[in-house]
Amino acid sequence: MKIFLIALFLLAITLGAGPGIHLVNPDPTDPGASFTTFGLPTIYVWGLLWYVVQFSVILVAYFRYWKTDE
Amino acid sequence: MNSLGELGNVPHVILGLYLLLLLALGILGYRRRQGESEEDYYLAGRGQGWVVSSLTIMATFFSSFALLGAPGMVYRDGVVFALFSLNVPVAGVAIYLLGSRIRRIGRDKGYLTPADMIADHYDSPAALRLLVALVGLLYAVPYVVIQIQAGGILSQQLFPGTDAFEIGACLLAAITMVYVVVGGMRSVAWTDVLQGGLLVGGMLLAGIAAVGVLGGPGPFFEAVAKLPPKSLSAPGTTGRWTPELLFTASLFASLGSMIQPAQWMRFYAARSNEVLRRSALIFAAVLTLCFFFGVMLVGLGGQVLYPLVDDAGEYRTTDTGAVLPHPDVGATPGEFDQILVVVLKNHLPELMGPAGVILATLVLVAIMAAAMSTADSNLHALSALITHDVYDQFVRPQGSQRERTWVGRALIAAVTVLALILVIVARRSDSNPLGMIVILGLLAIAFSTQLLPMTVDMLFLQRGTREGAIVGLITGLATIFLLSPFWSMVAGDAFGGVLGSMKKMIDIGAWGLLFNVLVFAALSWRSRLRQ
Repeated sequence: MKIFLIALFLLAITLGAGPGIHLVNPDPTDPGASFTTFGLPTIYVWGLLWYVVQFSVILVAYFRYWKTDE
Repeated sequence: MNSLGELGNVPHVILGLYLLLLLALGILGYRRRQGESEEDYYLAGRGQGWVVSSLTIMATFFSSFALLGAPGMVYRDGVVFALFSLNVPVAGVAIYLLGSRIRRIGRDKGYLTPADMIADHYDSPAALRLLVALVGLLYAVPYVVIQIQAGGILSQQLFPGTDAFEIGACLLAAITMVYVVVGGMRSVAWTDVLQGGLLVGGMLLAGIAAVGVLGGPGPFFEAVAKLPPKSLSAPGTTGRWTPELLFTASLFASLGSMIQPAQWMRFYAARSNEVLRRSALIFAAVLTLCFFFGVMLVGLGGQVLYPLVDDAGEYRTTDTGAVLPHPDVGATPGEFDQILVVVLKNHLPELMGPAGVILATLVLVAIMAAAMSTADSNLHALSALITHDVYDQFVRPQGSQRERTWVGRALIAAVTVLALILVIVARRSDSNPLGMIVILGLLAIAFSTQLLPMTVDMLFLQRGTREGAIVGLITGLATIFLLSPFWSMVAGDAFGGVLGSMKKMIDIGAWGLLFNVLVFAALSWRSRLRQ
C-alpha cells in the first residue's frame, strides 16, 4: 500500500504539472481545438483533478502511516 | 467612482494598526524568552505548537511572489502557470517526511542550523559547514533585499507621493528589524501567525474579488474561455512553460524551499512529531486551494480586464519581441506582477464602495505581510548562519551564550541597514545596482536545492561520504553559476548555445541537482571502495 501511494503521488505530479500535460494540451494553432472542459479551461481542470489525487494520497498517509509519536 | 485615495486615512489606519500589532507581538516574544541562549533565541526553545508551526512555515514559504509574482505569471503566460500550484502538496509532504526526521535528530544532538547536522554527519567541521552556510547566505541575502524593495513598491501603490517608496522601505525594514532583534524566533513565529493568516485571507480574497468583478463564476469562466488560444494552453503566451520545465520547476521549487535554512530551523523548533504531521496536512490543503482558487484566478481575470492583445488581436511587444502588459497595468515586461494591485485598486472599490476600499487595503497589507514574513525569517536565519556557523566556530568559540545572542542581534541590525541602503541607493541610481541581487534571488531556490542529495542521504540512505558530499555540492553550485546570467556576463556565449538550450529544457536547479547527485554518488562509491 505504501509503495502504491508513493507511486500514485509521483504519477500525480508528473501528469499534473509535467509531461502528462501533453495528453490534454490543446493545440493553439488548430482553429478547431477545444480549450475548455465543463466550461473551465481544460488545463485548469487537469490541475484540479491531479490536486485531488495528491491530496487524497496525503490524507491516506496522514491517517494510516504518518506517526504521531516519536 | 471610489478609489483608495478617496477614503481618507483608512488605508493609513489599517496599515498603522497592523504594524503596531507586529511590534506588540515582537515585544511579547521578548518578554516570554527563557534566558539568553542561542537555542531560545534561534529556535524558541524547541517548543512551537502546531498552529504557530504551520503558519510560520506557510508565511516563510510564500514571499511577495505569492501575491504579486504568481498572478503576474498567469496574467502573462496564461492558465498553464496555474499548474505550478501542484508544487505545494509536494512541499507539504516534505514537511513531514524530511521535517520530522530533521527535528528528531536536531533535538537529540542539539543542532541549531542545517550546517550543524550536515557537518557533523559527514565529519567535516570546516569545509562542509562553511559551504552549507554559504548556500544559506546565497538564499537569504537576496530575499531580504528584495522583500524590503517590495515594501517600498507597495507603499507607492498605497500612498502615492514623492517619498512613498523610501518611507515604505524604511518602515518595513525598521519594524521587521526591531521585532526580530528583540524577540528572535519566538517573535518571528508569532508575527508569522498574523502574517500567515493575512496571506491566506489575502490570496483567497483576491480571487473572490477577481471573479466578482466579472459578475460571478459563470460570466468569469465564459470570459476566460474567450481568451487567446496561447493563454489557454501550454507553453503559454511567451512559450516559456513547457511541461518539462514546469515539472522540474514545480518539483524542485517545493523541495528547495523546504530545506532552505529558515525552514530547516522551523523543523528544529517544532515541539513534536505531531506538530509537523499536522502542519504538513494544513499546508497541503490550505495553500494549494489559495493558489488555485485565489491568486491564479486574479491572473486569468486580469487577462480579461486588461487584454494582452490589441484590437487587431496582436500581442503588444517590445522591439526585442518581449510580450508587454496592457498599458493600464504597466509599460515594461517587468510590470506584469502589478496585475493584482491594479485589479484591486481599480475595480474592488467600484464594485463594493467603501467596503471594497477596506478589502482592497487589507489585500495590499497582506502583500506587505508576505514580504515582511519572508524578510524576518531570512534575517533571523542569516543571523544564525553567520553567528553560529562562523563566529561561534571560527572567531570566538569561547564566547558565552549571552555574547552569541547579542552578536546575532547586532548582525540582524547591520544586515537590515545595509540592505535598506542598497535598496534606496538603487532606487536613486541611473544604473541598476540591484540587478545582481535580483538575479541571485531568482537562483536562490536552485542553490538551496543543492542541499537535497545530502539531506536525503543523511535522513534515509546513509551511503554518502565526506568527499562525495563536498565535491557534489561544489559541482551543483558551479553548474548553477555556469547556467546563470553571471556566466553569460563574463564569458558570453562560450559554449556555442549549449547552455542556452539546457536552460530551456529543464530548470537550472534540476541541472545542478543532476550533476550534484552524479558526482556525490560516484565519489561516495569510490571512497567506500577505498575504505
